[in-house]
Amino acid sequence: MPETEPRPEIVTEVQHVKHAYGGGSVPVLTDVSLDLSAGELTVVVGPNGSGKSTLLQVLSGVLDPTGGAVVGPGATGRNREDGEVRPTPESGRTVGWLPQRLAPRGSFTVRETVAHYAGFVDGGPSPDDALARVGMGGVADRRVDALSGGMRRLLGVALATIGDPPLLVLDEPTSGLDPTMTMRIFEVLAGLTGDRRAVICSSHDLAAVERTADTVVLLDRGEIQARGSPVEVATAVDADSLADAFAGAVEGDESRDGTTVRSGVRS
Amino acid sequence: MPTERERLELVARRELLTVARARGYLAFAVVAAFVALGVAWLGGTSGYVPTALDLLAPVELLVAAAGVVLGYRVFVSDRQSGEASVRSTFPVATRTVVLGTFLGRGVALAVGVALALLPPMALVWSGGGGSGLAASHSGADSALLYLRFVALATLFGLSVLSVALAASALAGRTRSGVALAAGLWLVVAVGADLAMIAGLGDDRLAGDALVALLAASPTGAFRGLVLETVVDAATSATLAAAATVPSVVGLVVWVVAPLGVATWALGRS
Repeated sequence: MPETEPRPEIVTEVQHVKHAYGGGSVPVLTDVSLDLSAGELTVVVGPNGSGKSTLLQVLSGVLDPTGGAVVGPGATGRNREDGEVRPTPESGRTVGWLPQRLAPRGSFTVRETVAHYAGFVDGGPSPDDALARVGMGGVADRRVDALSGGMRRLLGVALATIGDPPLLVLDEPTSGLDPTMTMRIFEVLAGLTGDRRAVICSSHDLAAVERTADTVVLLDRGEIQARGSPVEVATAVDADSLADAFAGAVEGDESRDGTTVRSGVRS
Repeated sequence: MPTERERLELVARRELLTVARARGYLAFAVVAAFVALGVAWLGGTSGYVPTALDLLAPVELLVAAAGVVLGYRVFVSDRQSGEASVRSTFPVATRTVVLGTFLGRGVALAVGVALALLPPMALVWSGGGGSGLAASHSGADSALLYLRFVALATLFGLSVLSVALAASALAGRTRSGVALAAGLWLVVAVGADLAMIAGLGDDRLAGDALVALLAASPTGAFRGLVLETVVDAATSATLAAAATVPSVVGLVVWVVAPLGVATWALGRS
């Protein structure tokens, strides 16, 4: 990547991460390395079974990799350039995480839900500020079970920002949503990047990705096939657009032996 | 930074509110109150201790059911909903989550037991049963003995809740959670009773050994404590139905040990 500007701060490094399920018999991530920089929205795209969710779970700390390391913000994080240990954020929370499916308890209001989690940390946005950041200030007193699917996702995004963690990791935050809500969520995510925060998510909504992502990571068969801006990724795999690059990856999987890859295992 | 106690209170409050806002549990408590009132009325309202004796068997069933219902799906639901995954990214210890959950749901259980068992007490009081004396004299029936029965029922319920929480932490899905909770309770309650019957039949168990073994089972300990500290206190006969201290210790162990199992299980998942 051309470096005409000062290098942004690296928030998290993924170093040769591997992961296999089933005691090692089902490899999902074979060798993944990437840096996540502050101020950038990184979107991981790839066919089903390419390892996107696994990579994001490893990044969030929910899953331990079977090989390699994630050097993240917090006490164990090291600045790649000078080896300085970065102190743990004051709030004590280093990663904000939104899993693919999140259904908070329906009998609580939106504000109560956010306030509950905010009570675990010190600092960061207040519940009302966290909700305002994602455009949910007007529904703070609504019960969670009365929210639409898109609003529940936004609530999940708000929860991820509690404690102002330097890294936000979101697994398919727009899955199943209409195009308008999809764009809204991506715009919110782009707005959440900042001087000291990186945001990474996965998505199949390539139109939204092309419009908002700073960096796209094309993941296939557990390996990064291309990384860069949406245009750079398409160019790297000789495609005219990100959608074509994605389609090329899927067709490549199917043409290898006439089957479709599912969850890292050929069926 | 919030202290561990503050985080504990946060978890406990959320659990208590979750139960309080669940209409099903309130309905269960109301039905239990009607059952208890019915049993008390049918048994006659001649005194607090006779009423407690009449309620002993149904309370054993209903309080155990309440404990299972309150506990079997908590951690399973948190995993299925994704909240457990999100909470794991916050600086809150697993033991805080387990203890806070137990405290919040334990308070809900205690309130439910009181709601179910205090109306029969009022029935006895209004019917003129009981001497009204404090239980300072052997042979006196009093409201304090009935309250002791309520306290023992609550401690028994807490032990069931604790086992159910452990089952919920160990189980992978809701169905396996309820099966594991109910199965564990059957083994603990029925299994211990069957072992005692077998021991009595073979003449291997008698006297002090039988009383000590009763303390090992939560149901045995509960029954024994009610007979020893409620009934025996009101009569001049000495039943020797339980070793009091070992029975109380046994119930407390049945509260604490499963919470340790739950903490271990959640920590490795």
